Amino acid sequence: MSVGKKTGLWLIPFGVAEMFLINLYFGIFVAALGLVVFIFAKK
Amino acid sequence: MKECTMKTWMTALSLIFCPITFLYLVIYPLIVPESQNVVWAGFVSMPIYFIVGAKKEDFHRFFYSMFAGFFWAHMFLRGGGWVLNLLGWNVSSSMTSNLWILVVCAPFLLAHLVWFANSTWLNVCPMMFGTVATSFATGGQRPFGLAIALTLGMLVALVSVQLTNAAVGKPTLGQAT
Repeated sequence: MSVGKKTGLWLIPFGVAEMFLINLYFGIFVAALGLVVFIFAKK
Repeated sequence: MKECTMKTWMTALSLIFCPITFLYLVIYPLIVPESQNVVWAGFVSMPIYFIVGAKKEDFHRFFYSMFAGFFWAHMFLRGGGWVLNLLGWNVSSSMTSNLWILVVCAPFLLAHLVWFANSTWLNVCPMMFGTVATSFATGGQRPFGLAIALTLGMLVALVSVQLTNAAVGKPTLGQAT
């Protein structure tokens, strides 16, 4: 798995944790960003 | 690519940096609502990115590290409160926060400097500490405003360096060191 895909994959749990720690919408944004990076990063 | 002396490059950078910063200060309040306004945070990410040369190939690492930094910032901020609520805990709140930071710093640095360092882009700890510092300053509030300010601050550094390189060339190697 590429560095980009792994970054996206790790941003998802960071985003989920941020939903509870910071702000629901901010956490959703970070998790969604992670998902987008995971899907579109080069293999 | 043409080359120039460090003095010429710095002079050009100084002249280019001012209008770019002015643009940042004008644009930020237009895209961020007053309730999220933390325009000063851009001046935290800007020097962190400048100090490593503000190379465009590094931007994504700084950008994604910032979002991981928010998680650690709030771990630092909230953890002291969790420990204070433990039954039988009898230490002052400031010392509890200090002890909590002492404990959390280890997994934070191990994760990003060792475990994630080569396998992900989440490996720029100075940027994460920049996020931690700005989150502390806002008491953990205004995360969207902070994320936008930190990103725009890095963009100011990136655009300034790129325009300077385009205008006068890169500084010569002997002068740059």
